[in-house]
Amino acid sequence: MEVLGPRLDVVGLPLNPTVRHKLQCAGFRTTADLAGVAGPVELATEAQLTHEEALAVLQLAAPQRVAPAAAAASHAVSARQLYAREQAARRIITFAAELDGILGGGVETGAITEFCGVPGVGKTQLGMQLALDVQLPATFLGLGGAAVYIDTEGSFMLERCCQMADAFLAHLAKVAAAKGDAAKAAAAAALTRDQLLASIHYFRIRDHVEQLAAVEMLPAFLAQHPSVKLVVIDSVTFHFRQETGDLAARTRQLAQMAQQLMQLAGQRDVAVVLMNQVTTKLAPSGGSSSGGDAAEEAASRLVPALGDSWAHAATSRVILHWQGSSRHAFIYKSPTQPAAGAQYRVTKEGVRGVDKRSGKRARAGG
Amino acid sequence: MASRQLQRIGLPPLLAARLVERNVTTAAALFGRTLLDLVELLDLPYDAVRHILQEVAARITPPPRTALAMLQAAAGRPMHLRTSLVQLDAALCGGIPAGSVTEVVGPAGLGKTQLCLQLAVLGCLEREAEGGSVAFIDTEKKFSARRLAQIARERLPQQYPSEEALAGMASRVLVFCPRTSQELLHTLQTLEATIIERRVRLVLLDSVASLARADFAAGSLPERQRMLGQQASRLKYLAETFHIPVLVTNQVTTHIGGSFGGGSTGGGGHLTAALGTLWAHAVNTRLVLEMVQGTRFVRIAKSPAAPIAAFAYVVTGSGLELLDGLEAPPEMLQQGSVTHMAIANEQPYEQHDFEMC
Repeated sequence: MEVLGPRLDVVGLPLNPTVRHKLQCAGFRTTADLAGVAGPVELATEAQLTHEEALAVLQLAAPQRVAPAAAAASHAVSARQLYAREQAARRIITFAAELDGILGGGVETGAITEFCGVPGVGKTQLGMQLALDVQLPATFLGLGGAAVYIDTEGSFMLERCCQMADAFLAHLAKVAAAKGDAAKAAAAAALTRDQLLASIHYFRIRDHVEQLAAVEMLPAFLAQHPSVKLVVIDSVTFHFRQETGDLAARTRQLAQMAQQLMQLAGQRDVAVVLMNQVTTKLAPSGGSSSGGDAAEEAASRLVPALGDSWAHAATSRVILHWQGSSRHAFIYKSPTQPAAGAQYRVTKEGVRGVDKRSGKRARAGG
Repeated sequence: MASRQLQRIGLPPLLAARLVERNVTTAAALFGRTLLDLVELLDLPYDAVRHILQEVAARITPPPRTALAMLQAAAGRPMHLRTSLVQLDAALCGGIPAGSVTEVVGPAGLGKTQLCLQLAVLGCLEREAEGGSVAFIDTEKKFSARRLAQIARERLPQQYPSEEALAGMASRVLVFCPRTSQELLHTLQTLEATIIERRVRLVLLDSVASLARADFAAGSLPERQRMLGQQASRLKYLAETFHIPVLVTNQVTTHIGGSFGGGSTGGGGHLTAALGTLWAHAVNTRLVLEMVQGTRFVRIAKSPAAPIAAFAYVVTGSGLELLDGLEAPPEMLQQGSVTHMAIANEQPYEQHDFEMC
């Protein structure tokens, strides 16, 4: 396999005379000699050719020498191709217009999005809403996919999910009717609550080992269920905060899990959504002089749990927080979106925006 | 299933022997190490280790169910325990939800224990047909059998007309009195057997805060939070596994300073739920008892099923009773963060609106 084809004299190659002469001067007589060089640059130096000339010679005389390079180039992806891929990447519309806005049109597939927030701000609500939103039919510009819901806290409420599924269907019917679009109406009518619920694969995870195991087996599960377009882990934090083991091991395990999820998101083109809790970070000056809860809560602030190295895990990180009595989302980190905030509401129907029109519609739907 | 023995997983015998040799006997030991660690430890190629991990992962991950299958399985099971406070039950879509943890938080003397006793009576009654009982974990030594009997007699005179009926009810309330956090955890870990044997249909814990706050000084906060986390995890496990309501009470603490994302409160201190954020993450439903201008209110502060609502109540001989026609002040119904939410306790000291017995 060293030399493809018969051994030829350099003179016999269809080369221009200057190049041929230079090769002969440098002592290259047959194609076998040419096959011995490491690459075009080496040949160029030895025979005093330009890089382009040397490459042309090798492509003629010893294609196997340059083939790996060409293959490598074809393995590489140009930014233009990536741009097209990013443009084509589908996003999961959240039903809260402002939230979609700051996320760049919804929750990105092929990436990890992390939502952090205090208890009661609506993390689980958002997770359940997304598990329905991902099923939005293609005629509504949705993904028409299924969802995996990994529940580590036991906060997934079935009744609430049913309630949201009903509101979801009502909303679709209303949109179809408003647009007078027969295709949409047919798609909305074809969808039932049972179908929606049957497309949510629910895992109840009871300790951190099961959580690591679940992440390990997800690729196999997704291979069996190719329609899955969304993986929600609610929350990624809970069990890891109770583990008594050493912190270094925890950090390693989390890093490995993040790596696996990242790969999964890329390979299967699914959206991975992680819910994270917040923890109280004591200010370093916060003295240990006085006791009790008062001292513990003083001079402290809330930060996303799991520490600074975990902060690198997610592609985008969104902080959910209260501003007085309204709920807000804030993009804390994103490779594409500017830092921005948006208000959202948790209504009887689910997670919705604050836009007056949609607010009225949502209320009318209930 | 972290403690599951690898031997029972059905790996090839040679591989299983090698794992045991290297002292990797449980799934937890296997997943406690990173992939590269395992390659080193087991002296196996990367792909082989990866394969073992996937094999084990597939066996120990609990099988998934679709939400539809869960709905079908849940049909016919009681989803709630009624509190018999009609408006509150309606707001909560039926009462205290089964299968999740509900917290009642409030200042001392507003009726947390009274509510627990009342629920114990109601829990016994609702599940009487199946001989169900109630587990009452009392960490504050506040359980009073006399008061329990009084609530039963006054609230449900038809059901409990005689001493025998009352005795029958009382014998189905199982009271546990752990003295330390460690004992409480142990009680929760061993409650499983009792729940099966005595058909426990309601678990009450009054209160989760007292032992944790007494056993751990300010310096040992991480240990305290870890202990609370384990207790929370166990409570959730019991609620879900047996699909029963679990209700815990919590105390209040004074919060000083601002909060995350611009809280509603300015300077000064205010009362808020004790035990911090980690615990707050663990409860599914939070009810707050508070006193506003001499009137007691029960407020739904966090619920996956209900919007925020508040109802005025009084504590009487028969337990808690809602007051009709008393609107909650609008500022109470504002949504907001539950982490450091303010709990009102404007209690005039001369007021005594109920007497025991």
